[in-house]
Amino acid sequence: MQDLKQQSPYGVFIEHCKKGELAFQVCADDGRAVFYPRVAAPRSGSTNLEWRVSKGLGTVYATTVVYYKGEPPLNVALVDLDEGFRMMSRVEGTDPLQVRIGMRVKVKMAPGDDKQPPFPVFTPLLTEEGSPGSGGGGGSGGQNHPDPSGHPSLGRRGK
Amino acid sequence: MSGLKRGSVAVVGVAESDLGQVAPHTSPVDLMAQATLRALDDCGLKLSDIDGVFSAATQVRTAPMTLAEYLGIKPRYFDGTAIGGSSFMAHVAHAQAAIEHGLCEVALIAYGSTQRSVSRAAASPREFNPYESPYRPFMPSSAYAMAASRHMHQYGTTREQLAEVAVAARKWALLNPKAWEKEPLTIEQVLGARMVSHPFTVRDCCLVVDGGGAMVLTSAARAKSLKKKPVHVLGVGESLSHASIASMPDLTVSAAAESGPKAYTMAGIKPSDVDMVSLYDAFTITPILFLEDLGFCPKGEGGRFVAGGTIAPGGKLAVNTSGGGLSYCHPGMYGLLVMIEAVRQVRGECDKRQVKDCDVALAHGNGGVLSSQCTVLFGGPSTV
Repeated sequence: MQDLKQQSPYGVFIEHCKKGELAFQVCADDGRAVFYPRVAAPRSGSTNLEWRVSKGLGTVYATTVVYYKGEPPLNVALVDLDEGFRMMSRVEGTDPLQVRIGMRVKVKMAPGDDKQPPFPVFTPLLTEEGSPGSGGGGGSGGQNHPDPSGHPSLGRRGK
Repeated sequence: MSGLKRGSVAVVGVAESDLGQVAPHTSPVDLMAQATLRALDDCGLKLSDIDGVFSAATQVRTAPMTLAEYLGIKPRYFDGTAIGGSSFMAHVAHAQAAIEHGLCEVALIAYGSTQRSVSRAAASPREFNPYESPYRPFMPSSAYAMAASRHMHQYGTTREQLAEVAVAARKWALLNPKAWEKEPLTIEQVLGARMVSHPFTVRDCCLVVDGGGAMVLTSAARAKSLKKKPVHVLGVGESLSHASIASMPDLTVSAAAESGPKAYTMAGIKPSDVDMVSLYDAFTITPILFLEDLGFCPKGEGGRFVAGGTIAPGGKLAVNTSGGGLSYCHPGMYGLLVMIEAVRQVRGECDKRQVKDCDVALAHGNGGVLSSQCTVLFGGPSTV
């Protein structure tokens, strides 16, 4: 069990971000990815959690564009990482409205500032043809997603 | 919910507080108290009859305590379950349990908000989430917008179909003198309004107004001797699926697919037995999801189901006859008002918007970012 007087899950996550790494946890008992980082695996309660660094490749699961007054439109997306966890982030480096479900994306670290530690964002992953790619099967990522949330799988009941 | 008895308790009094824009310095508890006195008048009970207090409000952290002090009552039983807009459906289920077990006999559920007066940001400050806040989603709108993006992607749902929900709500609102919105609305106006969080314009989003309400429940036996005909609680179902939208397993399937069947099972009825549906319409996507998850159309068909005025006045299914959170009133947590309309329909008190022969009404509450889902089935005297 993590000693919370020494180190917190989010604290470890930040240290990885500062090194340009997107970190997540894997439960050593069943191999399931856990995100956001926790002191114990959801459902099983196992404290046998190991930190891993993601390869940073993922697929856009859901997307929106926020219109704050006086600001350029801002993308917000949910990204399914190839290691089997989902996170909120944004896709930069393209028109926010052109961010598509199923689009393949790659992580990069946004620098942050005095108040905000560096944090992971994504950019479109260019295919060999040089255009933003769409990953195989990504378009139906919802059905195949390995339920990173640790909740009873509502998703499998769908459709 | 197993263990509760179909029809064992009844709603005997309901009322709204003043709605829309209230006077400066009005407090959320002023609105709760005003609605409470009106609901007591509705049933003929007195403050001193209340021995159970159920409340939740974003502006009042200790709502049952604060309300009990304000009203000068000392409840035997209290419950401050706070799970967002569906809190009050949960309160009905919990009040039923308490009444069945003799922990209280007359339960008050109350809510109030001054979010229009003090601003939404002040009334409902967002909790900091280090895995979300850096990306600056406009919450809760952006979470529901992402659910809409998935529904559009998977099922071909269109922005026009989303707009149909807002247009139907507006048509109902024009039949409700208490509704905030007074002018007709077209699909083109919804699509052309200011964009908030794609695919939602401001017309796809619920109102930001002041308001509150109160509901009084008691045992079926005691309800018989009160002023209005009792509206029985036939079934209840509660479900939680996640807190943050990134942890929702499938953005196109809400936990209404669990709370609904629980309520139907307890009530011993099916969707086709329901005469009127009151669904928490925080955003235009939510009635579409709930119509699917509660069994009124197949999964993925919600957008096509609502097209062509199906849920508008004169349509096949009466949905949100008050005008809903989109056009009638949305004071932050809208669930209590969702139920009040359903109760009034079963009583036959809805005048121009009254659904003919309305014996069974379904009220469904949603909280957080599609996080908590609670369903209540109400029935008139002929159903028990």
